Amino acid sequence: MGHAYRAVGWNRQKRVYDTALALSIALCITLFVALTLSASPLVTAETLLIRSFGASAFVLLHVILSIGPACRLDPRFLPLLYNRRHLGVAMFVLALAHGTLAFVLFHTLGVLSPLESLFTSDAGPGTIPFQPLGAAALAVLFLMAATSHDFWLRNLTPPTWKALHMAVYVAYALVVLHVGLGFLQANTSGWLVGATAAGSFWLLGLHLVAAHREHTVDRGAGKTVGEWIDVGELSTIPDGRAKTVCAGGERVAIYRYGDKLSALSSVCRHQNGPLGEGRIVDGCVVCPWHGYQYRPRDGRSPEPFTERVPTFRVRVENGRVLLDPRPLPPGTPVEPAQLSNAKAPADERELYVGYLPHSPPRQARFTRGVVLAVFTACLAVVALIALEQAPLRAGQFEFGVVREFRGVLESAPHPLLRVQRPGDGVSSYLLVAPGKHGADELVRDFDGRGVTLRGSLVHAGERTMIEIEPGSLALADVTVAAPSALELGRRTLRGEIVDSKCHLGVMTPGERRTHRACAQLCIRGGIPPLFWVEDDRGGVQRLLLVGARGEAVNERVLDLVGLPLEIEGLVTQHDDWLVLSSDPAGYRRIAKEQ
Amino acid sequence: MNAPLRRRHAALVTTLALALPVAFAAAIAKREAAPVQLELPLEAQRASAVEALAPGAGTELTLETSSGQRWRARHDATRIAIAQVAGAELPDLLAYWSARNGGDELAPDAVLLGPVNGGSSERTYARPGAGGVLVLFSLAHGEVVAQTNVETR
Repeated sequence: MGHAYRAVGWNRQKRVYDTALALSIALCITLFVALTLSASPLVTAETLLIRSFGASAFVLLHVILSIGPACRLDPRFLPLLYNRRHLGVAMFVLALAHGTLAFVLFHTLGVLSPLESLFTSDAGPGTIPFQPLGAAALAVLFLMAATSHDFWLRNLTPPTWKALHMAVYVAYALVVLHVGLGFLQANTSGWLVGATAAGSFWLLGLHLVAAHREHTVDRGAGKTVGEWIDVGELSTIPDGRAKTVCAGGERVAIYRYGDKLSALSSVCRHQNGPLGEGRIVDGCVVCPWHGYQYRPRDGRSPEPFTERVPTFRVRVENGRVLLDPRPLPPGTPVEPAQLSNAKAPADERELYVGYLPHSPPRQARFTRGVVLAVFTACLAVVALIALEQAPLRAGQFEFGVVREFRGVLESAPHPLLRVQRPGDGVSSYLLVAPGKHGADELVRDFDGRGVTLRGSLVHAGERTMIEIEPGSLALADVTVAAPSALELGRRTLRGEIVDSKCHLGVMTPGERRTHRACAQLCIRGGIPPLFWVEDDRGGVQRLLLVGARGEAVNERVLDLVGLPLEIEGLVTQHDDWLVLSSDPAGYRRIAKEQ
Repeated sequence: MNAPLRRRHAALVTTLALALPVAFAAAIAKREAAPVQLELPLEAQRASAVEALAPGAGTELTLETSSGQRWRARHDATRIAIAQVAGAELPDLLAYWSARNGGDELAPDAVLLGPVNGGSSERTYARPGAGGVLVLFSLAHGEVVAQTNVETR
């Protein structure tokens, strides 16, 4: 390490880096929200946040994982590596916000503990739960974000720390499967599948190419001359730069500086960065990753710093460089090989050192160009995700708006409030309790009685529901017309079982795969299940789903919630509600090819 | 990275490059298409009750609210067809026909035509009289939301 080095200092470079990062993330989220709202103005704020955070984190994860191999292939990408930890922590914060919101929204306020719901919901024949995959990825990312500090690097030692942080690849695989088994099940755009696949091919391809190049370097140093290895012509080493060779199982950097030649381990003590790809600055070898410095003669950082790397003996014979592959203890002084009249080749490459005030000009131009290109690509991908989402249905929840209602209460099979229409007829409003609970307990003593109650409306299309304010039910003198029932005959219908509360407007979307765990928890808690049927012209009907004898079937349909089904049963019109009566044993999953 | 880590990295990335595309492809292959119903259960009954107005037929009127909801009403001598064309849906929205404008209240003589369809789909009702007022009333909100005079033809 050098005198100029400031370990956690907020120098100009870091401030510029972090400002660009924060602005980029804010712009990505804003763009996603704006495009989603333009297509689905009634989408709930929670859905907007969950999706925008998730999309931004996923895109950012690709950027982060591209930086390492890009630097191996072209050192001009190194400025992006300098503050990569901040990128990682920012991505984790986005992922955490995505996961926390989804966890609270989908798994709290139900009859199961939130963790039990997270790890047991969304199960069923032929389905693989996608939310536990996201939770596992988040746990890995947390471990990495929490240890993204030099404190942990020092205490765990660089090899252990690096090995730990390789878990990011496991997290990446979990995230891809989380997306593939969740979001992409309900959002079937080919563009979304293609973009996800392209991201993985890009990333894994980049890593494989970089790994192949590393493997080529590691294969061997050269011809053995006694105990020494001939590592090549001296004339190939530019002044102030190194030749990196593999010797004794690890890489060695052979540095040329003026009329001297020294060899030291190419593995930086800080994060095991490639010292052989740095250069001599102020008489010291500078690591290209974070600017740690070592004297070439003895492998020690200048005082007062204490880092040391192994050194090696080196000599020059007939213009060829010979290296003793046996490492000397870290910090062992070795007399440099003296060079006479040997001309060093010119070296035009610039070296970025993160803690210096300014990048070299060509490097700065390159970095600006790369940042601009990456940012543009990120915006384009985020826009693609926003635009290619499946349309979001427009149910509404009048959250916080409490109204009073009068009617006659029916409690079976699911609580309903029958309200007299002016003139003629009756409207029926499904009743539910707050959270993911049915209203059976609240209405138990009021079956068939006239009541007043207060609550908030949830509605979509012709279907209306009231979330009752507990304690607001009271007997009242209310008269409504007698119930009407009209048998419409036996029908075979294709659709999906949804929980009525979320589907009618508490959540958008309140159906399909991404909402399945929440729907299961709601129906388990007594929320009436609906059978949601769509035709190919956009027509929608929502039928109250009951058993063959008109009984509630909540517990019997849990495994089939959120899946494409065919149900054959009796359709009856009760007042303004359609009711589908059928034994759950006869529900049939629709095979993919049908 | 040091040499053992580089080897571990290479092994990990190679494993991922082989396994992840297969797992992702399997996840996409198991997607199930959204189920589609060819005929909705109540549509046949509705169609038999009142024949739908042909597209473009009839005289067109517009009903609007100050909060941005807009409906299109088409009518001929015997039918009225209503569809929402803009804004958020209203809960339990019912169409009424009244001989006179009742202002903010539903007139006592108002006759229920039926519920207004959700979304943009149009529903056709039998027209009760020659001239009158078409009223949209949200029962759940307990308010008249829009109304328009329908002239005698």
